[in-house]
Amino acid sequence: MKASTSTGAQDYERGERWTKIGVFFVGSILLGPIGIPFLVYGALYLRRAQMAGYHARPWHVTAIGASAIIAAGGNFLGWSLDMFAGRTGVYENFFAGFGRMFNAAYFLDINTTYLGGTAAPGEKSYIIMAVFMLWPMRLVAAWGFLQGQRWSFHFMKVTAWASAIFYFGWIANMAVHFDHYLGAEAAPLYGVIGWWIYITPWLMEPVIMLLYFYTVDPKSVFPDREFAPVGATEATVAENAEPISSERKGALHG
Amino acid sequence: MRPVADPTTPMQMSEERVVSVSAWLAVAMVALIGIEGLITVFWVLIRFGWSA
Repeated sequence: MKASTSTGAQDYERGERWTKIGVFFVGSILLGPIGIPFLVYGALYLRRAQMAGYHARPWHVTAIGASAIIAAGGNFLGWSLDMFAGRTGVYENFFAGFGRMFNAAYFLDINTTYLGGTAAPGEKSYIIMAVFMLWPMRLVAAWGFLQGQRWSFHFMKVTAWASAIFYFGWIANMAVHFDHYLGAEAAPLYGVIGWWIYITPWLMEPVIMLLYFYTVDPKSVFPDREFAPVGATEATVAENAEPISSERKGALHG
Repeated sequence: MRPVADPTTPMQMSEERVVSVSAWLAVAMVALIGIEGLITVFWVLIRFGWSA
């Protein structure tokens, strides 16, 4: 980072650009390590803009929004490969290797069904649900959050709960179908312990998100937006509301 | 009868602290996911790349 005479706004713009490039790479998983330096570089610029007094987005919003995109994007990309591209080199090389090491549903009998990819029915059902519904919702919510959209606050909460339910069901499915994933039939190299070490960072996501979204004050996240004052009741809101004109009343009541 | 909880009781941890801890946990999660990507790609190649 050059010690130039750039303004806070310029630093902010640069920080935004590098952060987005970093998020793109880390979210792709396979190129993940390349993205980390970009993320750090972008974060330094964003910090400099904030230090210079530029009215920037709070750092925790960037951290939470970016991490949500990375987690959802990584899952979306990986499972999209399983959904649509099971019979490709990148899938067969990396997923089969991952399956042999950690999760044998991605190794045993892969590409033996019509759809291709994993042959475990429960796993495939979760993939279909997540690729077509959960991860797109989560990506939209997280992008909106980074852009300061007010609707995204609620959408992030809803999709955090959806992720929590998803992960719980997904892990339960592994336990029910244990032999095909981790048991004697499958015998992945690093066993049950290896699997839990691998998956824990991913399982942290809904926990972190629910902790954050049920604590943070929306006014600190979107300071330029209007919110109903704390303790406002329907009566006080109605008292302060603009009276409805007689034409509008007529339109409302037909 | 049990007393009604007092809504003005302060939280054990301040809001700022919880927000800061959760945001740092999110940063740690991203770092771990990035490292896992590295391990998965290179370890798959090293472990299985030249085996039959």
